[in-house]
Amino acid sequence: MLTRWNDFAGLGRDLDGYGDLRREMDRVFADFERYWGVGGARPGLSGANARGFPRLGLHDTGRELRLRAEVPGLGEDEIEVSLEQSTLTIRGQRRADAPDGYAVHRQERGPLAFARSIALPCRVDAEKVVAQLKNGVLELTLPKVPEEQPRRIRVSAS
Amino acid sequence: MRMTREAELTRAQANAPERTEAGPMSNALVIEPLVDIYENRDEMLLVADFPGVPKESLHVRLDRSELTIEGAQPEAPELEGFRPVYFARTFRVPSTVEAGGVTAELAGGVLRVHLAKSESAKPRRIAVRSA
Repeated sequence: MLTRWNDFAGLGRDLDGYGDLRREMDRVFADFERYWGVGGARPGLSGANARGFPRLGLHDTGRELRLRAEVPGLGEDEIEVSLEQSTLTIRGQRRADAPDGYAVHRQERGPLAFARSIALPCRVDAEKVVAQLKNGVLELTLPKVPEEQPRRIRVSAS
Repeated sequence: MRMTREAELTRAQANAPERTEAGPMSNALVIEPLVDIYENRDEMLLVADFPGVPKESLHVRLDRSELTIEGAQPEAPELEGFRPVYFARTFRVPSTVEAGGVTAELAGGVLRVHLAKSESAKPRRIAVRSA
């Protein structure tokens, strides 16, 4: 028996389905790029895997800068944070944790070494920087030097 | 020993991530966590990156032959411009894995899921008797 192929109702449904798939794919790609950065390399995919890792965010709260870096699987002795003038550098190394005696099916995480430098938007007090590692996330609190802190200007009526 | 084929594990990815019980927040990025998959004679071992996800919001589920791992980063109002991430990924698990033999641990933002193989799937030495 022949299959009816010119069923417009069916065709319409198929196209709707395609639209859903298309939207879903667009979302997956958009989220991927927002997460790893446009053109950012996915760490597991190449040897030059430092770009895009770790995922970083910097926020200015007024009195201090806060930086967050996702460093899953790194211990505190595997991360080095340094500050030179207003350039902050985070270096790290993650060893492969392929267990002994196991066959490898898939390795996206891989061992990696990275160094990322960030030009801070203002001067911070290097002595008062606090770094904390929790659940694979490094959080830095960088208090601004007093001159850089926001100041209230009194408005006087003449 | 019989090894699992790579394709058996990752075939289910096309359907992932499904929005499931934990569900991402409206503004969360939905991302498949990066994983390593290992196997030895006793178990399959899945290692996945879940940075910033506390234990309470991490879910590991084995539903028939599908293993789903998912977890949400908490919202951090003091960190604008750093959207929370909802990690989710689904894998097809070979039938050699025992449903009751799944354990998981989370440390330093890394999840490790151990999937024990059933006794019948383990390699066995057959004694040869002389007649």
